[in-house]
Amino acid sequence: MVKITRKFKRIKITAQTPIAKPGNGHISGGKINNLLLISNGAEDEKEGKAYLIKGLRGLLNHSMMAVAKQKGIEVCHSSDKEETQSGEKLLPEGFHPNGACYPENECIRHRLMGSINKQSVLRFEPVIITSASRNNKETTAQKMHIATEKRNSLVQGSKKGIQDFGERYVSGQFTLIMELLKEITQEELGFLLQSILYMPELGFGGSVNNGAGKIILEEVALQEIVRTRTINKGKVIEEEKERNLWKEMEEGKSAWG
Amino acid sequence: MGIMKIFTLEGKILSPLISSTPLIKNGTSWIRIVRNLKEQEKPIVTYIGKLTKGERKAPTKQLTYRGYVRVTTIDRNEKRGRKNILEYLSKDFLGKKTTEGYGKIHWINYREEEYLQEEQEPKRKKLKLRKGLGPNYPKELQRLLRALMLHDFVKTEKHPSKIFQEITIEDEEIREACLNHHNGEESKNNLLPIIKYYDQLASYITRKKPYQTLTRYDYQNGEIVFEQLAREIEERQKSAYKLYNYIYHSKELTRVVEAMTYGHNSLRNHLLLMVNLAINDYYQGKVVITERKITIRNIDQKTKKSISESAT
Repeated sequence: MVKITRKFKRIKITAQTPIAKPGNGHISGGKINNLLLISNGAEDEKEGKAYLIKGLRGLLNHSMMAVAKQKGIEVCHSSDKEETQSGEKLLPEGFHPNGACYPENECIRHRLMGSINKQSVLRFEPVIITSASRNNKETTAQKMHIATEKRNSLVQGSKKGIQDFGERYVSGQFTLIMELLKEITQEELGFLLQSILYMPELGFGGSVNNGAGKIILEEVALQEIVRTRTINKGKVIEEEKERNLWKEMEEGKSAWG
Repeated sequence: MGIMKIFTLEGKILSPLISSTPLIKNGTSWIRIVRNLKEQEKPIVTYIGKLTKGERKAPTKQLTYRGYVRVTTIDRNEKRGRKNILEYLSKDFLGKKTTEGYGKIHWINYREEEYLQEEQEPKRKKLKLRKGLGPNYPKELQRLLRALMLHDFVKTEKHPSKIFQEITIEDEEIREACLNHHNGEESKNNLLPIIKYYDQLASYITRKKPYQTLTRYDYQNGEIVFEQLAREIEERQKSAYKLYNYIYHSKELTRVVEAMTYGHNSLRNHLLLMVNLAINDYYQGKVVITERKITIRNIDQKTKKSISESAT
């Protein structure tokens, strides 16, 4: 019997969002801003449509920048340009362009998130969701409430429309998993955890100034995973064993300070 | 030496897989992205990237695929083949930008089968127009070739002589066949069905792109003296060799159009094609000579119908 095992560490985040608009899908009829559809066509119609939540990696990126700035450490900015063509400065104080520190004097953010020159140490698993209203047990996707917010407004005393568009939103609990592709130092782990805790201060997706994109963190755990795949009568069977590393997490937090 | 085996691993794409093509070669194994595991349809394509004013634009725009993935490798050595394919079983992601969550795979099936190579059909030789007729053709075949080469130089129900001048054909059977090759009537003439068949088949092969012309030939590039042309053909009507040679080298006939609706096809090519098709069929045994009579055998009614429909 064929058996393949793989051992790795990961960070598992369980969070809730009251309302978020990570719409990045096709725009149907030019009016509704959709989520990115990733369902598999005709055969998977029983499973229901699956969508991809975008923007969580970028949210962590920005919270890392904020945490570093609080502590007075210079890290990479999300942009790799210093100024525009007209000479307008893009970089705020305390940052350098993305990837400029590599390979000499590599900053802590670049060590974790990488840039165009270097692959990231963290592999973000896609957050795939389906509608919670579907009573489907077979699907591997996470279940969330998915709906459309329609915004119409007319000019007073006339039928002329100022706004006529819709935005898809999601709400509910979801889990975000980050796989560590390499072993990271305790300081880096502490920095990573600190920036995860800073994530609720920012917002992800669209309409953040209107109250969307809030995150409520419920659980953050560093885990060691042993994943095995076996083949039984031509079918691939997958099993996972997880172990929480609370002690290592505490050491990391204290190392960052 | 062991038996040739094909090792297959199949999985479902959970998040869009970034790749420029749906078929990727990695070492000795092939990764094919398909829409469905049962049928080999093309996968669904989606574009990802930042939306700017409702559109995805470069440099963030990326081509991705959704559907299923099938990894195959063919090997005689069972151990090596299994090792190559099971490398993929330890992978959770395929394609580019995997750290951002793209290309996640859920493996489903694995199987090993005996590899049976499909026998490929030998490639058909391209038909070439002969530079001249071969030696020692039977007289019956020569007569048929003469009839084929002369059939468009007489007035029929459908069209007048294509060189404006009618040729007086001395052989009675050939003349009758040429005059009636556009009639629907049945007759006892032996050559008539063969002329009809090759006329339709040749036009079926050459008539691809319609091009309407108003003139039978390009008179701007100099006039053709058709009387002389008719005389030259008339003189050579008794010999298939002489007639074929004359048509092959004739510059006038290359300028004359075979059909007014297909202006790119020349009369010379049409006549030569008919002759060459008939000779090839004779060598293959489709055109048979029995008791000094020439006939075609084994023409499917379906193909005959489709050819005649398309030719008309």
